[in-house]
Amino acid sequence: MESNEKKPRYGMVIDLDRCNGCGNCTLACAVENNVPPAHENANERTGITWMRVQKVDNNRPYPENRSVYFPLTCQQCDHHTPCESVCPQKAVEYDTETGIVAQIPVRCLGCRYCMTACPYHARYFNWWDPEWPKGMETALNPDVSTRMRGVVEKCNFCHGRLQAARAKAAVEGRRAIADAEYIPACAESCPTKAIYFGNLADAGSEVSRLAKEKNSFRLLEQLGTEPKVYFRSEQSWVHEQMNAKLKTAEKEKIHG
Amino acid sequence: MNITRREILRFVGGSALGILLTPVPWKALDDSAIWTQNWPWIPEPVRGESSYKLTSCTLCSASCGLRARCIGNQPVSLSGISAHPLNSGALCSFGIIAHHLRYHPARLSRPCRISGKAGASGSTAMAFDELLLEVAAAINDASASSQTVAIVDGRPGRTASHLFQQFAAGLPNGKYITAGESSLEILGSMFEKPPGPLAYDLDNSKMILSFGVPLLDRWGTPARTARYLQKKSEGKQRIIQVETLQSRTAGMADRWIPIRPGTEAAFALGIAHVILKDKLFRDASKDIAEFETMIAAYPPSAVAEICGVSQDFIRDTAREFSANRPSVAVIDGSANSRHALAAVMALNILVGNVGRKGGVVVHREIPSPVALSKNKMSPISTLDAIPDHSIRAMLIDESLSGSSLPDGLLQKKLTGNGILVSLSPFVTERPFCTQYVIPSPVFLESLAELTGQADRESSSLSLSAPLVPEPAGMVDPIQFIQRLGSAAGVMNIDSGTTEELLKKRMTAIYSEKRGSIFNASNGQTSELKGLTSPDELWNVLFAGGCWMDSPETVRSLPAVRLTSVSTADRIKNIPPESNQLLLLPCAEDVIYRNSEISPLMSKVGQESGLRPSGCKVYLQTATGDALGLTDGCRVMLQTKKGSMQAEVRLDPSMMPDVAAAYSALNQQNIISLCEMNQDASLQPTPVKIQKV
Repeated sequence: MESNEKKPRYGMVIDLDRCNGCGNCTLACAVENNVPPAHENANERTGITWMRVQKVDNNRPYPENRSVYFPLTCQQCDHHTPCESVCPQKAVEYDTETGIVAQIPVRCLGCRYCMTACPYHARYFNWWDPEWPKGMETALNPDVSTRMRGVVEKCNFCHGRLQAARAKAAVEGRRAIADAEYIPACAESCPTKAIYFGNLADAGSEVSRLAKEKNSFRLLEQLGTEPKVYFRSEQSWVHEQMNAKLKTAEKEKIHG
Repeated sequence: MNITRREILRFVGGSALGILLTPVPWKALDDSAIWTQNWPWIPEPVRGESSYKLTSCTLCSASCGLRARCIGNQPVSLSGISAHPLNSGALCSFGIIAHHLRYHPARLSRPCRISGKAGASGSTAMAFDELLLEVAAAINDASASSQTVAIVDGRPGRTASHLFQQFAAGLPNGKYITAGESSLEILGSMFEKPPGPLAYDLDNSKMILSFGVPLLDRWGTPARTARYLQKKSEGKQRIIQVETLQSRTAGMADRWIPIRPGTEAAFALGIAHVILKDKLFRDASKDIAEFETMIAAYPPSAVAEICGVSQDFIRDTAREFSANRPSVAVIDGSANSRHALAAVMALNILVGNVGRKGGVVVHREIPSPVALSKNKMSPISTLDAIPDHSIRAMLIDESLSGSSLPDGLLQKKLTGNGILVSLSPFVTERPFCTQYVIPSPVFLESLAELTGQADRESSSLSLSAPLVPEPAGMVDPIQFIQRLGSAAGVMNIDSGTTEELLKKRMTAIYSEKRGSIFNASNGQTSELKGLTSPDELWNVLFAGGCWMDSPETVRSLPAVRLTSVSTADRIKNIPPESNQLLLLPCAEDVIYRNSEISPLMSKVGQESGLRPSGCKVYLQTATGDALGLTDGCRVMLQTKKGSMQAEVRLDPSMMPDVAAAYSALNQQNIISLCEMNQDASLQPTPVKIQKV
């Protein structure tokens, strides 16, 4: 529950040992946030996918080779949020009430400083106007506006769902919302229950407990940006890889 | 007062400077940013009040229950029904975006005839009645010349399936063919009498020995991975994955045993050898001694050499499979030869897993008034049993996606002037024959019936209710076969609309008073006999519910013939020559090419993979180094069947001496380089790789 004393800090724990790389999170995110199908000229750098699933291996030869799937999205930095601090237009907003880093496309001028500043490559620029196959635009989510060519966008923990949960609570005369009332599309759609979402500031929440486990870690933690997306794995090589360097087997190899 | 030129310039300059100190330019900048983001050609979502409708997914036989969020009548998102007994709230990546299918660019709007080479130039739109006349003429021609007319059903067990059987029975040489889970069909054929519909009972199995089946990513219910992880943590289930590539299932299984491509049969026979030699079997087949003699050539030492694994893996797997009962061995029917399927199914027979909970179980037949009507029904055949080049007209129901037969096999069975009639929502072009395609409604547009569950203890039946109106001119499978029967003079087909026939089936199920019913509206499961009428059953199923049959009580099964496992085409030790690798055709890119998916599926893969950039071939890093190949370089793949250019990807997870090749979009298919078995399954093919 949202506490009057302590403001919520929404965050996520992704269990890499449970992820089978099915891509449901990517697709549910695209449906929820009206991200269009890939443009015919898009490549790995110019395509838009708020949540990308990347394959990471232990770099050992066959038959010792092992791999995990990494769903990567905006890490929702809580401290000195790099994208927010460089935006000249105040198009990136850090919500002090929730800790969510949101993008406001209508303010964005498309300078892409934020993309340069983001250490996780989690921001995407609209190189083309959004296009859907004929008729498919009628199946867009009415809670989220489409974005046009020339602006940056990224994951905002399905902020529209938070607004809807708050509106529902207000109608019912409540100020606080329950954890189950606000779940981003990626977490809701995960068939293997690999994505946990909740209030990190609530010591009793599942997400808070998992984030504190010894098997949990954050990406590029040494930068001090306090990301609110945690990963966990019981496989030691995953931690070793993260400590060394995040090596992606697929997405960083640009063959486009 | 004289105004000088200098004063005018001062005024203009001062105004320009002054205006910068006001909010005007900044406001104009901000507003222009907003205006330029509201161009009329940027699609805007349709606003309106949300409502939720419950139904069942038709994309595969898993029959997942789902909840559609609708704005007006338009579904805008799909999610699973968490209390649903079949999918526990999980949907697969195809299902979660299935509401987009009706907008697919390849959607078919009118019946058409496609002749000659594939492509739009060979496609002619025609009226449905005109098409029926042409097809009926071909059917009558086949009857007059004693040629076969076959109807292929990818989803047997439906009411439409029974009508198909009636249609086939009404023709002199009519054949009804199912394209179900072929490994279970093989197992069924090993019995002296048909044992009934077979299924894997994976949920109750203590150990699953999987030969390349993607159990934990895309096979059967998407809830399996979560269930398996839970059972694994409780020590209740183990999965051993036998597969060449490190698939997602291989990565998550308790143990991954990588074997050389095409050696699944040898590996299974090696396990059978250990089971027999160590007296670990529980089967008392009459021909077990004969079977032991047959597989004497497959001791672990020989199999280890064939498969490229340690002998210990074979012995350990055999002991584990036998000790951890109930266990079950499963194999991917679409990617392996019938020989391999039979060898793996023999393992289930040997350790007594057939007819046992947690192994391979026999499902009860779902009551159907059509199946019991006075109209005769054709028996079920397999395409293998039909002589090559003997089918004059082949009808394929592709209105619901699901199991399908490989094009190579279809081509082999058709006569030179054979026609193929496909009922499909999408344009499906097969370049080897004259094809008629009839448009059918897509998911969420029509009433559909879902039966089956080849991976559960008991069968089930669900309905998929139409949530959106179907476009004009669509034909559903029941209408199709009734009208074709009428045009071809086949009159022994039950009449009635789809809804009328399905309601009759509800009455038949209700009268049996067996099984349980899940009500999606309240999340409760109760005994069927608690319902008050067939209409109530209909209403529950129409609103996303599900009827689950009670499991078949244990009964004695017919005798089984283990010796039907052929060892004739024994796998040779490969690779055969130096400088050659084994070509392993892979199908991953097919998901982007498949028309039965939402265009949004393009988000899942790499963007570069969506373009026709040529075939990609994955090699072990050391293998690539030995051949002087670097990541990204282009090579020529050369087999006895032909050659093709490809781009190299070095991947440490690959088995040495194996080249896993993925066809790119709109390019020559890698399968054309591979040698084929008699049953149209692909053989591992030696390939030479040279840098270009």
